[in-house]
Amino acid sequence: MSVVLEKPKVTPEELLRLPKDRRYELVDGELVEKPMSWISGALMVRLGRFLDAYCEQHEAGSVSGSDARFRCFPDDPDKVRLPDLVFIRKERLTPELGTAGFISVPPDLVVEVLSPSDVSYEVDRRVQDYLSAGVKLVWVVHPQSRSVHVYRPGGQGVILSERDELDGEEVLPGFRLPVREIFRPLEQLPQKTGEKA
Amino acid sequence: VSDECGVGEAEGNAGGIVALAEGSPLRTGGRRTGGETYVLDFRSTDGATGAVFWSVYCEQHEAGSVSGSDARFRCFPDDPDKVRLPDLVFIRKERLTPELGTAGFISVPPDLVVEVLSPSDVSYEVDRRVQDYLSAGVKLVWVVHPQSRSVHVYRPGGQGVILSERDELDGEEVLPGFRLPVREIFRPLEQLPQKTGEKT
Repeated sequence: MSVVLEKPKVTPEELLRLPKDRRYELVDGELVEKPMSWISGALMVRLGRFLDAYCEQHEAGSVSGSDARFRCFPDDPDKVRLPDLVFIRKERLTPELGTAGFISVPPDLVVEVLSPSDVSYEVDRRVQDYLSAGVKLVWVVHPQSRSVHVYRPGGQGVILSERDELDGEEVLPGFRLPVREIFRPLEQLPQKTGEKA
Repeated sequence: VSDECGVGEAEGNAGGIVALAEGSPLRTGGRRTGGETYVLDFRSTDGATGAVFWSVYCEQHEAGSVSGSDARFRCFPDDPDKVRLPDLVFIRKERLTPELGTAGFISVPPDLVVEVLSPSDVSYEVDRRVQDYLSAGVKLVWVVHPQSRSVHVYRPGGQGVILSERDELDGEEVLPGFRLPVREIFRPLEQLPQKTGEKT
């Protein structure tokens, strides 16, 4: 029988003390780095702008970016995830949102914007984690295909293309945004020469 | 060999996978298996299940022909040299051509393509594959996600849907009358031993 050396598990408290130059999630005691890219960052800003405008107009709640660390997962109290964009409705805002620590309130909406190195299994795990934590709506933005995958707990999801409109449903009532608006920053990028599919 | 044919994909593979014979279904782009043999076993198990249901349907309805990941398609409008190997394909009876009987490339776009994801599949590459199939004229693409036990259904020019284990997969106009509970696809996962200490 071979001896397997267990890597020491990282605790959420240690995660808070790590340098801030990378985005780490904490899953099963291991640091999982979230892939980053210009494209995903640009689309986060773009979608965040529409969400923020909606919140201001409707006094609906609070939007945050990828600095918010969520520790709200029923299967593992030490799991920490960093959604790319989050929205929490006004009536669910808590004082802990004003601190530098973890947030134990599951968000109402989570948006993930994929980077070129994101692995499908890991994306599925993130979506499952958010839905089982009680998140009511998850949007996964796919820059490559210019589509948005919409997930809800216990219901069928949909895959929206640039011809479709994103709907805030009961989470952001009245929020409607043509999907193509999200991807407008891609039009400013120079084409990669010799790109192969 | 162009990079589309994916021989370079053997990089990063360890153990027995590199030793696969020439012509084995090494994937175009991104299907690196990281040398974990269980991935291959798992893939073939999964594919086999789908194929069984399907071949039953085809036999019953004399609908057409089903093939697995040995079929090389060269039918992509953006690049005449692009070659893709769908995990499972179906071509309707009236579109079957003699070239399907040869060992060469297939220039007829399939009617239905199924991709079953592996743990190392990269989302951007999966999206590229789906886009390629749809722009080649494939009418229905099912991407099977074992991790979330869901099936993502894509059609040209229409909204896609994400089906969970509570839902039923529908053959739509491509396989009229084909209906399969999604959970049936994932039954092989129940036979697999749980990987101890599984990490994400």
